[in-house]
Order: sequence, then C-alpha cells, then structure tokens
Amino acid sequence: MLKATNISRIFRRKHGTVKALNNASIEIAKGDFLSIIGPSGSGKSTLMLALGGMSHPDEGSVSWNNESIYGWDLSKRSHWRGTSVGFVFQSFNLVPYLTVYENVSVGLSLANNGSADTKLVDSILAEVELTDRKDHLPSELSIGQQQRVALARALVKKPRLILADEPTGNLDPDTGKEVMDIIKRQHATGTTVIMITHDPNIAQMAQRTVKIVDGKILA
Amino acid sequence: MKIKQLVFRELFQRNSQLISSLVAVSLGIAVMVAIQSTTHYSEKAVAGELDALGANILLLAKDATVQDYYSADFQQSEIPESYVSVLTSSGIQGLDNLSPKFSLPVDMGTRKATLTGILPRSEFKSKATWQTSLGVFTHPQGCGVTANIPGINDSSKTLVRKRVIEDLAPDAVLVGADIASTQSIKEGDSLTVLGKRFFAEAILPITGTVDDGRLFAHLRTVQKLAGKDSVLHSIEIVGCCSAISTGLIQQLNKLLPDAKVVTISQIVSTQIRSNTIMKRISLIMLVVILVVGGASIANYMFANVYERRREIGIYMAMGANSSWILKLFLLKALIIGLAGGVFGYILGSVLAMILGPRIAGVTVLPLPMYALYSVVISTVIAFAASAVPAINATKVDPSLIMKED
Repeated sequence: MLKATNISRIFRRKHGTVKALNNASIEIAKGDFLSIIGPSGSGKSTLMLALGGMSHPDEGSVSWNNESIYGWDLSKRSHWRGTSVGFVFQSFNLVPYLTVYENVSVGLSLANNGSADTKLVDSILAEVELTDRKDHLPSELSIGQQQRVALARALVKKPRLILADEPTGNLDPDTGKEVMDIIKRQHATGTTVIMITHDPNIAQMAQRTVKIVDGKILA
Repeated sequence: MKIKQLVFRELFQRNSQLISSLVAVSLGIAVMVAIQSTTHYSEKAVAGELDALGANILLLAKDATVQDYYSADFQQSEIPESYVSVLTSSGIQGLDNLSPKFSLPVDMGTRKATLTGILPRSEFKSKATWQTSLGVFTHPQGCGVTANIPGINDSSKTLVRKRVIEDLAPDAVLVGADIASTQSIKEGDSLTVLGKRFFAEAILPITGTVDDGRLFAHLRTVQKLAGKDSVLHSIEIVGCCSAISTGLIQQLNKLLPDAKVVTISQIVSTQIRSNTIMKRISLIMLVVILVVGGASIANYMFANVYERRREIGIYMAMGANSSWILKLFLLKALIIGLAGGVFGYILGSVLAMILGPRIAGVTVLPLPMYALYSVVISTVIAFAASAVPAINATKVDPSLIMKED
C-alpha cells in the first residue's frame, strides 16, 4: 500500500547540512499498525512527513498503491492528503482561533472542497467525548482534550492512513491510554496506522515496530 | 467551514495589527476624499462665480485693444458678423454664450453714453445654421451653476450676467443704471437717441462696470443708425471655464486667425492655478496613500504569514493546496481593502463637510462616485501589498514547521 524506497532527506543549515533520512526503506501493507521508534533527532518525524507527502525526499521514492506520490502534481498530492491521510501531531497543532467544532470541520471541508457534513463532525466529537466542548476554543481545553480534538480532526474524513507523530508524547499515562484506545479502535476498522513514539509501552501496542537511527531504518 | 468564515475568524481574533493597517489605509483614503470633495465643490463654486461674472473671452479686431473695448467701445476697427456663424457652426465645445456687439457713442445731454447693439437669443434661434451649433447656449455639464443663478428668468439680469436676452424689439432699449439715474429714465419712458425714438423696456441693475453707462438696443437697429451692415465691434463669449483651461482660446485663435482673442486672464489663470495646486496635492496624497497604506498592509501581511507558518503547515497537512492558501490571504487583503475604502470614504466625506466651509468657504456634500474610487484604490493597494506575502505563504515548507515541535 505505502512504500518508501531508499529515501534520503537533507536539510541545509547555516553551519552545514543534516542528513535526516539516509537511504531509508519501509513497506507498509493495508491495515498495518506500525510503530517507529528511535532516539531524538533520528529522523522519525522527517520519515513520517515524507510518507505523508509533506516533505519531498532528495533521493528515493515514496509510492502509494504503486504510484509515486512525489510524481503527482502538488494539487493531486494535496487532494490525496486531504482525503486519504490523517495527521496527528505531538503538539496537536490545533488552529487557536477556531472552536473545537470548527477545528474538526475545517479538516473535512478541505477534504470535500468546502463542505463539511455536520452529522459526521457531531458523530466524531461524540466518539472522542467532546460534544459538550464543541464551542470551546483549544485554549479552554485540557491537554488530553486538545489531543482528542486533533484525533477527531484526523479521523473525521475517514482516512485510509493515519500518521501519528508521538500522539501521547505530551499526555499523562491515563490520557495517553484514552488516545491510544481511539487509535486502536480506528485501526480495527481497517485503517492503516503509522505511529512514531519513543515509549516502548506505546510501541508494543502496534502490530510491528521498526527502529530508526541516524536516518536509517534498522529493523 | 468556508474559507471566508475562516478569514473572518482570524481577522477578529488577531485584530490589533489589523486595526493599525486599516487605520493607515482609511486615513490615506479619507484625506484624498476630503481634498477631492472640497476641490470639486470649490471648482464648482469658482465656476459659478465666473459664470455669474459674464463674458470671459472677447473677440476683437486684430488691431483693437482691450482698453478700447472697456474704455468706450468706440474703436474704429470692425470684425465681420460672419464670425458669429463661424463660431456657432464650428462645433467647438465650451462656448456657453455668444454676444455680438456693435457700439456707437451717444450724447445724452449732460453726459456721454454708449449705445450698444446686441443680438437677442431669438435671433440665434431663427437662424438655422446657428441652431445646429453644439455647446452654445446649452451650458455643458461642469461649466458652472447657470441654472441656479437666482433671477435667471429675469431678462435684464440675464443680460447683465449672461450677456443674453431672449427678445428685443427694434425700438426697445435697455438702460444702464447710471444713465437711468442721471437722466431720470424709468421703465416705459420714451427717449430719443441719435434721432430715433426708443422706449425704455427695462432699467438694468447696477453692475459696477461700463455697462452701467450703456444703452442696449437691437443690433440691427444700431447697425442701421450707424449705416453699417453685417459688421461688429466685438463678440463677447462666455466660455466654459474648464474648457478655457484646456485649450479653448487656442481653438478660437486657430478658427479665427484674423481676430484677436483675449481672455480675462487673471480670472482664468487663477482658476487654472487653483485647479493645478489641488490636482498636485491630490497626486501627492495618492502617492502617500500608496506608500504608507501599502507598506502598512505589506508589513502586517508579512508578519501574519510568518506568525501563521505552523497554521499554514496544518492546513497543508489537512489537504490545502497552494491556491487555497493564496486565497486565504488574498481574501483577507480584499476585506482590508474594502473596509479601508468604505471607512476612508465615510471619514473623508465627514472631514470635507466639516472643513470645506472653513478652508474653502464652500458647502461640501458627500460625492457617491468617490465611494467607488475609494474602494477600488484601497482594494488595489491591499492586493498589491499582500501579493508577495501571500505567495510566500504558499511556499512555506510544512516539514520545517512540523519539526519545530
């Protein structure tokens, strides 16, 4: 389903270059639940962005159902991200001036060219138990609630692939478990999940785990 | 959620910078609207004053002088009456009124006076070739406030102010105020001038000009008394003031090279000078608006794009493409432009209404057309200033933003 072949990503900085990915290859089948672990600066987030069509590798290719996603034009790649990929970030990245409901519906609007099915939004908010908070701004929510909004935003469009970058990194164990429960439920519906973490306990919830060190995938 | 809702939400959430750039644009537009509105009404007022003064162009024989004309009208040099036909059929725009004149000196016993032959408007109407002329007697738009001159329907006042009278019988005479006073002539009195009996149809109001010492009779009557036919001493022309400043005199000189065309130069040059100054101020203001307003919006937009890099990255992750991001910022520019134009127009119109009477001595009313100009200028500035920041927004590298976690 999703395959990265010998991808490298180099960032040029004032004081030299950083090779964030170094000939990394990985293959993820439909319905997989994969966790990627590795120390800080090992290239985990860069790999996730490359797999999500957000960061063009300097070398190698990333393909989705045997089509190179970086061979598509920007518009097609944006559309693919909008309809097929749900991103979840460690720091949630909610839009601060939009309410919970609006943060979720904007994701759906972008996937559907401007329209958002209110029933879908309401249903996903119910699933993450935030119906009573739907008119609140992110700043009025707890950390755990903010991550649940971010999850709802990713899940509302029913993506085929979830890319989660340290989804529990900022959460306490109980809240982290709640978030993982939601992700596992989504995986159970057939959604492919790729999750970055450096918590071995969280990593073991996935079907398989790969390790990345210095931009190279070890296993 | 629609993109415009998103833009409005962002605008109202982060409004401090927005307000400062909106104020800059609005103030610039306001000053321009205030100057333009005041200038517009000031020009109308000046045009009205010029209009009320009467003739502002004289057509004389080549060797005649203005001094001759004003001192006594006794110059020997004549011009052919056919010049009137040439003028009326020329199609030159800006000729409000023509008044062909032929004058004779007359002795009124205790004082000398001038008998001036004039052609009533009915004579113009009776001539087919003169009727076809454009401009003459039609008072083109922008040439003053003729229609609003009080008492314009009073023929004697019309003659004084517009050098035109509708009808004049062959034995009728209009008596200047000084002559009427010194000779004790009243309306309806009969009097003999150069051996011909006339009746005083009207006593003209005091003008403070040489007209007060004149008697006005039908041109044909005066020509007959002088034994002359189809000649004139002068043609007084009421030229549209804006036409004078844009080349009417040159056109007349070209049309009648054997005649002398003179203007009441001081009035005309004052008008031109005043118009030029106002136009220059407006131009300077336009540049100021472009620079200050544009810089303020550009600064705001650059800061806004920088501040929202992460947000742009999030939208990209959710499927936004470049054109959506571009639309997000240009829609914002459109709102700033529209709001700046509307606020600027309202503020400028209010300023003009308050300051116009004090600065220019004219009553100023809002000019709806300027609302359109304000909005268009403001929107163009906002778009131009936002173009580069908006394009920069589409080039944000989402991977760098996400890695700031």
